[in-house]
Amino acid sequence: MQTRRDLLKQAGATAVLTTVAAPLAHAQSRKATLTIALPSPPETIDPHQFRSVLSGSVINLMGEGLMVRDPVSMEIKPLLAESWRNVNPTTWEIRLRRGVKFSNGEEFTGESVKFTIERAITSKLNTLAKLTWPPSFGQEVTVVDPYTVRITTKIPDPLVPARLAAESLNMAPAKGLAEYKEKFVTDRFIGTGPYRLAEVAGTDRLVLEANPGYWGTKSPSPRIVWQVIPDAATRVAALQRGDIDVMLNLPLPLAPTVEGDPNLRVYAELSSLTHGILLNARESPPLKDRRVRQALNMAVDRQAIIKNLFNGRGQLLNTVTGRNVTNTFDPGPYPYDPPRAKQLLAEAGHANGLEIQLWQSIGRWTLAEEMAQVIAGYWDKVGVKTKLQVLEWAEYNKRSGASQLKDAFYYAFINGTWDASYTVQRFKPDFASFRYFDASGDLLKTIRDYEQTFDPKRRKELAAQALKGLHDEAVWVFLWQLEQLTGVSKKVKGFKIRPDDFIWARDAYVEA
Amino acid sequence: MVGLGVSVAVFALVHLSGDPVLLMVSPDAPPDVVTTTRHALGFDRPLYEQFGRYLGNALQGNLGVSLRMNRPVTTLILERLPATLQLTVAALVIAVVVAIPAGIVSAVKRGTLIDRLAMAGAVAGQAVPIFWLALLLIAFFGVRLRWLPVYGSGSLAHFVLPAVSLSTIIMGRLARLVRSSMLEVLGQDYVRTARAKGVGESRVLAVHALKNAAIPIVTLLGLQFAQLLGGAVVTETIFAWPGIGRLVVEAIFNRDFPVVQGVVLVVSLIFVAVNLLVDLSYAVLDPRIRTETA
Repeated sequence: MQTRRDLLKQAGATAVLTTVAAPLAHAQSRKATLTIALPSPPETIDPHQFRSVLSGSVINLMGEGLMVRDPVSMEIKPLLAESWRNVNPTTWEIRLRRGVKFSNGEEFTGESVKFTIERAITSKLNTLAKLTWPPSFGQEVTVVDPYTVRITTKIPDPLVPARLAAESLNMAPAKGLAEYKEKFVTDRFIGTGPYRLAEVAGTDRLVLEANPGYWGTKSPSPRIVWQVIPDAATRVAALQRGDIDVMLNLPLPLAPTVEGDPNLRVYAELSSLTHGILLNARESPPLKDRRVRQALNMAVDRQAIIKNLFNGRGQLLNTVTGRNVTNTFDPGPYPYDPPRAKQLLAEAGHANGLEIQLWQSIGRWTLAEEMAQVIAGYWDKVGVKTKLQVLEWAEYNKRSGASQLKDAFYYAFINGTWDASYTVQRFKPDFASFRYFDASGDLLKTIRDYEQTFDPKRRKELAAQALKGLHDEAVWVFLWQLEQLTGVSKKVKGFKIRPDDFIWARDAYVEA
Repeated sequence: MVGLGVSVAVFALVHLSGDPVLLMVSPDAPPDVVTTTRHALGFDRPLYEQFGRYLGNALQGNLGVSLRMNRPVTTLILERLPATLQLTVAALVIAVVVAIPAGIVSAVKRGTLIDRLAMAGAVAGQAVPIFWLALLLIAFFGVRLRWLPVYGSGSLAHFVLPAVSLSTIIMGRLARLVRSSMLEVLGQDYVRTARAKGVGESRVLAVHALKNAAIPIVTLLGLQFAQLLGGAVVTETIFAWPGIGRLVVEAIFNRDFPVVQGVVLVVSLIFVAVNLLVDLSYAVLDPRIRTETA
């Protein structure tokens, strides 16, 4: 007969076994390594001097910013900052998390924030942060105490939290990287993130292992290997063999191969890139007339192009910002209406048609060449004789950015701050690049008010007005957002690509 | 002199292709960021000054620093050159091992079915695009049979698919050249004399015929070595082979001038060295050349 003491012993033993065995079983059900194949190597492991989303995604497993975007909702959430508040229109106070250490053992404090912002924005380095938060905005950091900083800007800037949540501003140690304030870091990575750099094999393989001193919730995969495989067909073959678990940048023609494999799946996420044909309303005489710009929109059957050229993997874009961006607004599509397009052209004095040039760059965007030919065909049908022009990417990028392309050209924009203002600001007459349409009158006033308004509700209203205005002006031929495809083993769990195209691997693991 | 000529040509061409700073910064970048970056990299200096500095450093073994990766070009090349040379030599060995016997057999069995099959194979080898063959090999041996790895390096098995793919660039041409050279030599008096003296057929072929047919074959191998280095660009990309072919492709797309210049210079010097060795080998293969020189 069992006594009460025996029962208690058994219960205690069971509890201990459960406590010990549960994580063990958990660990045994997972593979030790998650391998992700990417098409090109990260250009650097410098915490602030990377350019591509791929590099940023790798680097930000090892580093962290003050805030972070939620991988699903894109809301700004605290990370190394505990809270923040707007003291006055030009001053932000940020309280920092205590007890966080960098991978070199240095404590994260206000000095780290000051060092990071100075290195990433006010130094001479060529950093990504300077694009999302131009030095001209002013970013003076005052360390109030070790766990409180104040950031003072030259102009009222409601987007400071969004700018601080950008991956280009992950925190760097003031002492550990002191000698690198104005220099590239090529031989180490010191961060506060859930992983640390374990091995760099040339430029082809980067091995990250779990950071044992990480302050937050541990990531489920003990190791993440980033393996460069440039050729997409080889990446698919490696995925089919089980050599890798995730292949990034799955081209559309190879998607059926992945879909046809019982062990694999295609993971599709709407890319943040907003595709459009920019119309030079400043220097191309016919395009100064809004009716011509509207006619060019109505002449193109975008749904048919998405369905037939992109296998239906895309959604219509009806203004200059994407669907998920903060403060976005959908004014509805321009209908596909060739008779109305012809009528508008006639009203604008082009009853006998007109000629325009359409530029694109080969190899930069998926099926851009075919897309340009199809659109030229649609325009030809309403009397707009279209001459196709092609440029090599670097020259294309230079001329388009310098506002030199006439009459129309294809481009796809990212959104660096994940706020509608990132794209809307391009239509101010004093914007430095991509000036093809200058807003004026009420539209310009709305854009300027929107940029400096702090009240969230009012910001949303102003953004909607601005986006509707830009839609009505037909500043672009609004095209689409396309899905980006990733090939994934069915054993991979928790892998995500955030709506801004950032690869979210910190919650991912492979089932054994 | 060749190195200097190549340096001038590559420097001029890469600088004519545009401004690397505009690829390094976004088109949205404020003008002061563009100016600061250009100044920091020295691209605001006159071209002759940039070239002079490049040449002076190159003579001391310093090929500059990669604009994209910010690492010394010499280090990048030294890290990756061995992989390319290993792959090229492996491809060359495969080509020689297959093509020379095939060419000899074709010549000896001239006009037979074996000859026709071997030459049809040689022509097909020359005609098949290397990327297509590589993908077929991956699909069959890598994915279907799962015998061989499809990317990367590190073991003997990793060599098989890329080396076989690369070897097809020269295999067909080499087999055809061996055949024609052997046919020419087999009709010579000294071969007939050797046979009349009762020398065994295999010795006639190996010692009397092949040795005399070797000069055009060695010349072709020397010239094709450079083509293999070039062909490695495609092979390395498909098989994720960590060589200089991929390094230079990525550098070209990113206008990483120092890397492009460095790789082209090193490859051209290898080409010159290999051809010098080929020239020197003539004297070993044909004593008449030695006598004429003396």
